[in-house]
Amino acid sequence: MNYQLKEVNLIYDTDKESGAAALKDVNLSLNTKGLVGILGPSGSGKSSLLYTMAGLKYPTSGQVFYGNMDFSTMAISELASLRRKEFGFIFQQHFLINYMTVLENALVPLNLNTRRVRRKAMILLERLGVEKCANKYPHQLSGGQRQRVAIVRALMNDPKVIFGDEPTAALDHESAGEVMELLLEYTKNALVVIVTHDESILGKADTMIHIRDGLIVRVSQPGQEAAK
Amino acid sequence: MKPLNSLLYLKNNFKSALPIFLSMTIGVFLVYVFSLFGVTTIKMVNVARFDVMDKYNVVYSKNDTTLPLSFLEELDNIPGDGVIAVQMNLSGLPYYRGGLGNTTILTFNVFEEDAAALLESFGIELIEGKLPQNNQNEILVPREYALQNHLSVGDYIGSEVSDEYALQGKYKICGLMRGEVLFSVTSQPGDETKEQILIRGVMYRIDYLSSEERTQLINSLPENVVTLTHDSYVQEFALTLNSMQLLTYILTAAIIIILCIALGNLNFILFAKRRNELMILHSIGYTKDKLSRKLWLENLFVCLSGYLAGIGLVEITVWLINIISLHPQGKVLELISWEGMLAALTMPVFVSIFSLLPCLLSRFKNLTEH
Repeated sequence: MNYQLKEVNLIYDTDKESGAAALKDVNLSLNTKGLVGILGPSGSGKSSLLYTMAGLKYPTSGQVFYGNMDFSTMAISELASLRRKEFGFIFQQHFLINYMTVLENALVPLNLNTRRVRRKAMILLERLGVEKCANKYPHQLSGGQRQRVAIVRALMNDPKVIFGDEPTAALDHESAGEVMELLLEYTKNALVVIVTHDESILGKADTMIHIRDGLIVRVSQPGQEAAK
Repeated sequence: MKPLNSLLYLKNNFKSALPIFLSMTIGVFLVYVFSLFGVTTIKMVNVARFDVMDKYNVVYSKNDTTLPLSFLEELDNIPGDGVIAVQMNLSGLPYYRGGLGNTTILTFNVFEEDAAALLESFGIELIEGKLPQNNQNEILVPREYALQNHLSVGDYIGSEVSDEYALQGKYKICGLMRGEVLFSVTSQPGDETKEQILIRGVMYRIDYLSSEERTQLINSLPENVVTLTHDSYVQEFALTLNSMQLLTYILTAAIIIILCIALGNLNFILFAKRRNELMILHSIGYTKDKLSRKLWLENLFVCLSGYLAGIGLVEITVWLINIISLHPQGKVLELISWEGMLAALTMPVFVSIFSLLPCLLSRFKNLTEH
């Protein structure tokens, strides 16, 4: 198992009586590859689950394991190092750095500017069809182009896990389909975890996690079910 | 350039960095200019007092009592023109101005034939006129002094000319001199011989004597003898010079505090605008320590640039002021103050750290709140 969450609880404002529980007793095991969809209405805790898995939020109780690593025993710097080396992030809004060119944005995770990494970035930009925008700034791109660049940035460090928080929410239907195709391609080598409330983009998901009020109400594996 | 290189941020965000840059430039300008005035004042005291006393000690009795014979015998060991009979009975030239204040310059009343030796010992050049002649009421003054007071060779100074002179009588400026030290020379021995004056007042070269010999000589004198030495002037000017130094530190500290508060607020606003950027970088895997260092380096680069610009601006401004206004008036504002540069350097260092504190202590801890 690649990922394991054991009895994970996440409560905001723990010092207040009215502390809100974003995750309640979450237990989860995920494989090392494939597409995982986290579904649920707004405020159900799906983003909290994603960020907890990514080590960006610390559970109030419970444990998160990535391989043999227990997040609760890792230092902040170790978690940061893990994110940088093994994880990729795509956010709902592209969140590109506005004063950097597309190419520079792509190079951010590695913080290198060698010929080799530039070539790698250009190959990825080309694969996503935005290679001509390499020297443009984010404000000169369309929403779809920006999200593609954000995906390039997420792929630059050859991540083993890609986390997407509503990565297609800001895109039109066609662009959303293209982005999902790209991410699906990547599931051959990595685990792609997507948070969405749009079930239609998860047609080819290997695992679907339904969450409501911080509780995992159902985990399904559509591919296997269809095979049965 | 690496994407997270601080210079890349500054290159692409010049306008955002401009207010910090300008504030630092102005702050450094004020502190450094003030320090140059301070250095000029110290230089003025040096050339009018300390540098003179680094070569000669002056000893004279207040009344008609004579200097101890043992003391005078010790002076026989000083070679050549190292011992000069002097009367310190003429003072009261108008002030010589420089930097933040002004001072009087010493007037040595020596025999005509000793005046040349005195000038030569300091490498002073007679640039106009001639040396003073005995009992002709003539005075030789520094060129800078003449320029400051709009005087030239042939002009008269003294209490009979103007009330502003404490110098009793009327003296004709016989010549102008230029050198590394400032004093004036006159030759008014009256009817007395050199030997008669020598037993009551003498200036002697101290560079021929060891430190112990100098101390022994001074210590051998009775209390009613006035001694003008480097140390005696250090005591006289210590309070003034220390106060000036203290004022520089206070000014620097005040500007640092003001800049820290002002730029702290400015950085806070800039930081809020960059929250998404920092949040992304944090999510990607850059620790808060690394991001803090990035922010500090950016801040430091801007502050150091402002520092260099401030220093450069001062140098150009002072150079122009010297050329256009001060030099023609016989004044000068010093161009370099290493202490001032160092004091001003504390500004970018402190401000770059402390003006970031509001950012680092507040919003930075919530970077993961999406």
